[in-house]
Amino acid sequence: MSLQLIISGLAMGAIYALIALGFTLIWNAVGIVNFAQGELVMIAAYVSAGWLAMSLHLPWVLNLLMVMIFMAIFGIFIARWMYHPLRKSSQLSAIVATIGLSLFLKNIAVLIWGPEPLIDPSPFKAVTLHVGRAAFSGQYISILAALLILMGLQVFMFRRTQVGRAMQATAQDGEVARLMGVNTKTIISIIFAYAFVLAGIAGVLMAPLFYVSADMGSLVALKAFAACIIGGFGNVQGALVGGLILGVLEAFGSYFISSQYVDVISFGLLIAFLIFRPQGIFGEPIMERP
Amino acid sequence: MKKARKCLLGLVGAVCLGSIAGCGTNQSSKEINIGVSAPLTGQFAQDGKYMKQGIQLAVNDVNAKGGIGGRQIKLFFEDDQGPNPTVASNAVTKLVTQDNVVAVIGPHFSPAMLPAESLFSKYKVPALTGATGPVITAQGNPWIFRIRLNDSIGAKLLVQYAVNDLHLKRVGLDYVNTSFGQSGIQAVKQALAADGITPVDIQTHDDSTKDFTSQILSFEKAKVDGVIVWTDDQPSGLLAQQMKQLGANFKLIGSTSFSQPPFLNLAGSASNGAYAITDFTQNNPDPRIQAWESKFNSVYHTKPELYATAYYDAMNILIDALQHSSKVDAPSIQKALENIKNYQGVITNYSYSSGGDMVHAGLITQVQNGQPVVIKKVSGS
Repeated sequence: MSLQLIISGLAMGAIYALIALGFTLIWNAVGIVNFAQGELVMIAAYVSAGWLAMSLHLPWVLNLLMVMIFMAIFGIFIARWMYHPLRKSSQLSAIVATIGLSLFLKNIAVLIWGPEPLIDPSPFKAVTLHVGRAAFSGQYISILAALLILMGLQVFMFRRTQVGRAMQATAQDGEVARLMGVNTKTIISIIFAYAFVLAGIAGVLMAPLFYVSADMGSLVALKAFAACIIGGFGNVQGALVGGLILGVLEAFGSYFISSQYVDVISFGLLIAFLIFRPQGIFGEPIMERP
Repeated sequence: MKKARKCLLGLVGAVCLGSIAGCGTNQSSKEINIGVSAPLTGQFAQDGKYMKQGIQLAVNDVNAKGGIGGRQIKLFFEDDQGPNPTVASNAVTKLVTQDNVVAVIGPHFSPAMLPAESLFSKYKVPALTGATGPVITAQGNPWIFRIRLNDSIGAKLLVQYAVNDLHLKRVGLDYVNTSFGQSGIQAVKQALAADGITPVDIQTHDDSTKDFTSQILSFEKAKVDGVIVWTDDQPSGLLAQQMKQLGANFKLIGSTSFSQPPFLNLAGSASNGAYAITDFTQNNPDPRIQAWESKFNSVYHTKPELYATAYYDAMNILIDALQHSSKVDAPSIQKALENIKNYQGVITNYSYSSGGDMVHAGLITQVQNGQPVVIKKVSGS
């Protein structure tokens, strides 16, 4: 019983964390909050379910790979043509541009794929594991596994690789990084590509669980944003822990208190954090960058 | 003189608009103008398309037979974008004031119909709607006619079936947290209270809720033998799917969604066993419906669904009222609509009752092998 709740809570939390990783990455790299992160997940899910799975009937792994390539190209395109021109103006314009992008993607999805939700087949869906009296779907396991792998990758990349260090340098002070010979333009493109790929993986993994519809990304992205603040904005471990805490709290709150108050509970926690510990669990306080 | 001037002005205006409109009351015009307010763009454009198909089919039939008293019916379509109160009000205003229609079909969504109601009574033009929210006919507005089952009647019929036929004792409730879900579940609660039943567990969700695990576990903890659910397509599919995954063994009884194609597609094999209250299902062996399906199919090469059928009936009711009305003007049509009694449509027999409800019967369906099967015809008021 409680085990069942923990499993479903962790699975939802893992989805929040997966999206939160994308927030964290863009935040660390260019210091903006990408409000289109949820819609990127949605677009990836549509590309996967609407084009690849339905018309090409690709095997799942190939399907995932195609979505990742598509999202990487999309990310580079957005970095070059949307973020880059706005780089010199205030951060606010870049953030507003991401809000615009999110609205654009939502509406374009309805135009292309119509209002009816789509169903995405998945190899994990048919698998259900039973532990005692608890059942958990293979889809949940795939999400948790993907989360751990991607998180490890992100930590490793930032700490151990040349590209990762260049990214960190770009994030901390783009001007100085450029003087030190870092090609910031390329680095920013790589960061966007990777953040978009993250959203792509989240989209492909979420699609079979939720059906694919134009608004599938909105609320989860908002929860992921809350997870970032709870864990500490810009902190990779924080994104993970914040997401998982939020997911499990929702599952238990819904069961023991009331499903009518789920959102009250999760956003109440967010407000409490903003008041009493704005830096989150792991992070430093959010401040205006100089 | 004055009239001639008005006519001239009207003509000039009409030429500007590039359409040929009559002057003032369209007594002098050759065509009968009927307005349709439907979601033609946006998220609900699919529903609007079905509405349009059903209405067009009925009009083509009557026009082919020479129209009404030798006058052809001309349809004016306006986009209301679905549940958008502002756009719907503009659409209705344009139909009534610019296109001089004598009756309107739509708006279809309750949130859009609500603000439009005052416009219909202001301009004194009758409207036929498929909006199912109880509030629509609760106003006692004489210009509003509902051609689908009122949610409050539907909820009552569903509860009667759950209590008397399925013998549920411990009932759980679950609803989508919108005005549609709230008013529906309110009616369910009232009907249960009349049978002396208090729900043992009440849950709610949003259209965007993805995980129903805790709700399902909570129902199991409360030892329900059935759950009555008032919700939309997406949550209905997810709930059924996750119930199957968790091996829940209580009965699932729900609003119309639980009998419609989106639910069946989304839930797949998990849809089996779900009960619903509805007004129309495809593949009904009833000869009336079979004839309608083949007729629709011959024109549009697809099977008609609920909205195409409901609005085909609505247009035919309006045509019937036109044929029986003394004059072709809005007040006479309103009177004729109030006199509709036992009009045989595809879905049901329509009779006007005070308040504006014309439908008093529904179907209880159960999904078997992935298809909704009619297991009982129910009626009440």
